[in-house]
Amino acid sequence: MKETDINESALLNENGQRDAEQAWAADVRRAAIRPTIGRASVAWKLSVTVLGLVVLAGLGAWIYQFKRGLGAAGYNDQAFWAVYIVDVVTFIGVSYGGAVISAILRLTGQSWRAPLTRLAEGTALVTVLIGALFIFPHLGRPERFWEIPIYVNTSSPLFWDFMAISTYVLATVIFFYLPLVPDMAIVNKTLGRADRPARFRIYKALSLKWMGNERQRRLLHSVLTLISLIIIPLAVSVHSVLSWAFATTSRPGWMESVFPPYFVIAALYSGTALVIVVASAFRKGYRLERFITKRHFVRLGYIMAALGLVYAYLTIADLLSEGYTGITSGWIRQTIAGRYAIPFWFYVVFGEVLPIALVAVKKTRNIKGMTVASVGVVIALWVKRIVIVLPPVTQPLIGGFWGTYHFTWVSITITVAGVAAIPFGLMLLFRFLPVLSIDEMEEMGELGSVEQVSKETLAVQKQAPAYAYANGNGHVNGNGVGMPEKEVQL
Amino acid sequence: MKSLSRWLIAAVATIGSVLVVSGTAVAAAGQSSAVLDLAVQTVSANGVNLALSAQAGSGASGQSVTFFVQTQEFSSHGWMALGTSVTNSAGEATYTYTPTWTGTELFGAALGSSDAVATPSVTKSFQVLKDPPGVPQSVIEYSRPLGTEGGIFVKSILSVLALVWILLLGSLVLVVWRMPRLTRASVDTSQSGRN
Repeated sequence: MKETDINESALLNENGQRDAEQAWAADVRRAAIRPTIGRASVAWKLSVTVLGLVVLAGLGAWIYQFKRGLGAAGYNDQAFWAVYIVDVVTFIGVSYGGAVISAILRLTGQSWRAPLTRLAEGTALVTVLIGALFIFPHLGRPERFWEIPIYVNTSSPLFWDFMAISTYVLATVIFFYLPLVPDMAIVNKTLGRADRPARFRIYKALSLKWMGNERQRRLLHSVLTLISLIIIPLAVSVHSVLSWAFATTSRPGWMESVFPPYFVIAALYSGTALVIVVASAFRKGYRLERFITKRHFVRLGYIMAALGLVYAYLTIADLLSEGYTGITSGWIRQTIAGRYAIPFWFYVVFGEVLPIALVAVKKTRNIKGMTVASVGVVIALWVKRIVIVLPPVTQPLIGGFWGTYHFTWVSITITVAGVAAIPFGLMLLFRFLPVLSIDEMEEMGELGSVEQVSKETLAVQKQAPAYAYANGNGHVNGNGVGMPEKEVQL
Repeated sequence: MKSLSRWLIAAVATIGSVLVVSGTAVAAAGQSSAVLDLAVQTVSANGVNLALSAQAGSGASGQSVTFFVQTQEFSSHGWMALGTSVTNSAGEATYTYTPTWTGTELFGAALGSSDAVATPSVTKSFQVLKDPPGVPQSVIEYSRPLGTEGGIFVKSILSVLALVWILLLGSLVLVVWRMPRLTRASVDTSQSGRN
């Protein structure tokens, strides 16, 4: 990708002075816009091609399953729900995590969120769409899906799910789009009409003639605050509704009042982990090291660890309350020490012990450590959901024969395709839209966005004002030149 | 007190002695003319299975008839297809169904397979009572759960959801409508300032 692809003059302010603030803004713009309007690298093309082929393979497997029936995916009379409902819950769950984390940080005015919000909101958008699509392989008669909104059955939890997920998709799209408005104006200005007229027109339309004046900022801020306020309870309630698809079924192991918070916390836990994984991958692949730093990972790691502890508590609460009575505890025995023990203990080790240990130990509390912990959490939580679904569903209600479920190449291919669709979707998304929230990062300034300086550094900067100054908004900005790279020890 | 309980038991036994309250088949509003005659019979060995039969006329043998029941659990009053049966040489199609709740059941039938028809053309109501006579212990133990209360609950939740949609779409429309106008206002102000 050539640096000259970017219109340098548009990166400067009216006076053309490259002072510290402008240098930071120019760096942010260059890093955010380069992947969007620059030429795609060979690595990008190769990655997208490979991921696209995996997604296509999944589509092919689904067509095969559509012709042969759900038996092709290993479903049978007893295991009538299996891997696809796990995929639905997992993908939509991680989406909630991304959106809620972004909304909470936005509402609480955490300036360090700025380099992460676009990635978190983009992840939320892509994963909720993939999760919603996974409903189709989950259905035995997907061609009848349109009947759900036409022949409304208000007593069906599946109808509730339909309403909840569609509402959440709408909220996620709006929550992703609105912060993009100022950035669209910036990209449009940078791109220029002559380069790509079609794109120019789209960006122009999406920018809503944004100028960045005070009243526009106030309006956007107010609306974003409202959407952030809506999206948090919405995500909590929507994932509760998803859990009711299980909890309203009279089946031991599913019919549990703990399920809604259980599902919500799992969603937030795995969602935070996925944001870390995505941030780590894009930081490396899109050369965002200057903007997404160790501190971002460590802070997200703290949030993830806290959610992990709550989830561990809820897991114990779920098993204890039903296991203690012993009336319908066959599935618990199978989970802890029976046929599902390996996946359950896999979750305990890689979904709880390892990530919390990696966050707790100072030596591993770094980017690599947090990434490893997050990968463990994302995989282990998928496995945990398998353990939530399969033991109760295969438990015999009459007689003593346990049902079985075996993964087939069809279910594996479709699930892997769903996983591949996340980076595939994100890479395509950020081929057209800036990967960083440019306007927010400029507004927060370098110190707010990155916070690489310690108190000691600030003290030095007070004595030597060339390193830091207050901008018009009252933000203290670092100049990014000659600034110490020392990070705060947490 | 004892006499009261005896009276109650006797009353329940009397009510329980009637399993069927007959209903009249009627054509559902908006449907084509009723070509079926739906009947609900009580002939079964264990006393809880119901034989639904639909008469399509003597000349209509080999035709598919789909039977329906109106779902009323937790607020819904939608039609659920029970299954499809084929008419015999006498033009009659039968289907066996075991109700699981006490109270009024509304059954329906329509000519055609379940892929082709979604609502019945004829309906018939039926009263399911707990512990009918001659049956030691019925599996029909419960009345429908939260039919009315569930309806209020679901409708309330859907109203909140509608409000959320209005808020979300309203916010989007507000930004899309207002933002360009604020730009225009700003440009106008700066131009008038220069003048």
